[in-house]
Amino acid sequence: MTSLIWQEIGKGLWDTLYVSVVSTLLAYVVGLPLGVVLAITDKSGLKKNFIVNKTLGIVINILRSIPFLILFVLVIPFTRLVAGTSIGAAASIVPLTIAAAPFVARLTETSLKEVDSGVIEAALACGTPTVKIICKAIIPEALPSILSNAVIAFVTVVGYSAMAGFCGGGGLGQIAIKYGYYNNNQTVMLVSVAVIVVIVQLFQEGGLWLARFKDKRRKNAK
Amino acid sequence: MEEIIKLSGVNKVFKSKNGETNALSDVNLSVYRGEIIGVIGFSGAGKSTLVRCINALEVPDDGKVTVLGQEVNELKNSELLKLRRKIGMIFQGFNLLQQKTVLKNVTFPLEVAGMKKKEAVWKAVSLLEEVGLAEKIKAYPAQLSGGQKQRVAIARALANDPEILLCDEATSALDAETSAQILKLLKEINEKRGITVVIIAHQLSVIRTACSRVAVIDGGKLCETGTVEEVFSDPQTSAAKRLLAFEGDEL
Repeated sequence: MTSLIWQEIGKGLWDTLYVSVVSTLLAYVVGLPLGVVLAITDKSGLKKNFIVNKTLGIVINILRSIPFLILFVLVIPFTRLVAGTSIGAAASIVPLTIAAAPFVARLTETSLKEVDSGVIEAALACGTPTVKIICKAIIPEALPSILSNAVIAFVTVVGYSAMAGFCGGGGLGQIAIKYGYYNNNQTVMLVSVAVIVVIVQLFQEGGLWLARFKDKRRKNAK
Repeated sequence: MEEIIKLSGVNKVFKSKNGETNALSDVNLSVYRGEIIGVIGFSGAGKSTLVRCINALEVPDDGKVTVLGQEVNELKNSELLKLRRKIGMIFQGFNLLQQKTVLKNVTFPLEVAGMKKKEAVWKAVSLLEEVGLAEKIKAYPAQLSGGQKQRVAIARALANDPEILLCDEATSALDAETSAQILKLLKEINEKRGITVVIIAHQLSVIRTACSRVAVIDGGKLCETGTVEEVFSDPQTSAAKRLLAFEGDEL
C-alpha cells in the first residue's frame, strides 16, 4: 500500500469519526425530547395522552422501517437544501441524523421507562411540577442507561455512515468501496474495515465504562 | 379538635379487564391535628388508595377530601403543588433517587419549592441530624441499610416543614428491630413538631407501638374507628377480629 492510500485512510478515519459523532449528537438533540414525549404520554406515564403517543409512535416506526440506503436517497433533495450538496462526508450528516433520531427516541423512551415508578411518585408527592420531575428526577435517574444506549446509537451511526460511502458519503466506507471493491484491492478493504472495528470497540468499551462510572447504584460509588 | 384531614363519602373504583374493584366505598374519616392515626387492613383492603387520596396521587370517583381546610380535588394545579409541600410522604420501598447523594435527596424538595441552594444544604444537613444520619450525607442510597434509607426518606419528607406526614407501609420492608426504631423516630417527630402522622400498616404491632387511634379498613370499607385500646381489646367488627386473630402468626 502506498503512502497516498494511508493518507486517504487517515482522512477517511477522521471523516467517519466526525460525521458519526456530529450525527449522533444531532440525533440526540431531536431524539431525546421525542423519547421524553413518548415515555411520559404512555399509558403508565406522567401525562398520559393516547393520541400524541400513538401518532408520534407511528411516525417513528415508519422512519425506522425505511432501510437506510433508501432513506439516504429519498432525502437527497432535503440534504441539498440543508448542506448545499448531497455528496461528501459533511452532507451525509443530514440523512444519518434523520435515520438515527427516531432510533434514539425509542432508546431514550426505553431508558426513561426503566425509572422506578416509586421515585416518580415520591417526586410528585413533594409537589414537584412535571417539567422538574422530568429534568431533575427521571432523566438523572435514567442517565447510566441513556449513556449505554448512546453507545449503541453511535455504533449504529458508524455502520450507517459506512453504508453512506456507497452512494456518495465520505469516510472509511467510501474508501473501502472505492479502492477495495471497485479496484479490487483486498488490503485496503480489510484495513478500512479493521479501522471501523477498532473505532466501534473503543467507543463501546469507553461508553460502557462511563455508564458504569456514572451509575451510583454500585456499593462503592463515589 | 381541629380536623386536619376529612374524607367524606369517598368512593374509588378501579376498572380492569377482570372487572371492577371497589377500592374505597363510602369512606368517612376525620384525622385530628397532632395525632398519630393508624389505618390497618389486609393486603388489597384499600389502605394505600385511601392515603393516596389525601395528597391527590389518587383522585376519588366521588366524595370530598378536605386537607388543611382545602378541598383537594377542587384545587388548581399550582395550588395542589403547594398543598403537597405541606404533606410529607414516606413509602415501603423508600423511593429515594438512586443517582443522587443522601444530601441531594433531601435538598430536592427544597429546591423544587424554590429555596436557594446554599440555604437548602443547611436545612438538609440539620434535617439529617434530626434523623440521626448526619455522617452519611455524601453516601448514595445503594450504600445504606434499609433503616438508613427510610431515615433519609423521612428527612426528605420533612424538608418543607409539612403539617402532615403520610407513611405508606413505611416499616414493612424492615426487620422488627429497625422497624421499632423508625416508629420511635416518627413518634419523636410527632411530639417535637406537632406534625399529624397517618400510618398505613398491615401489622398490628406497628399500630400498637405508634398510634393513638386506629381505623380498620376491609374490602374498601372503613368498618371500625377508635382508640387503639378500644379496638384491640374489644373489636366490634369481624374484620378487626380477623386482624387480631392473625397477630399471633406475624410475631
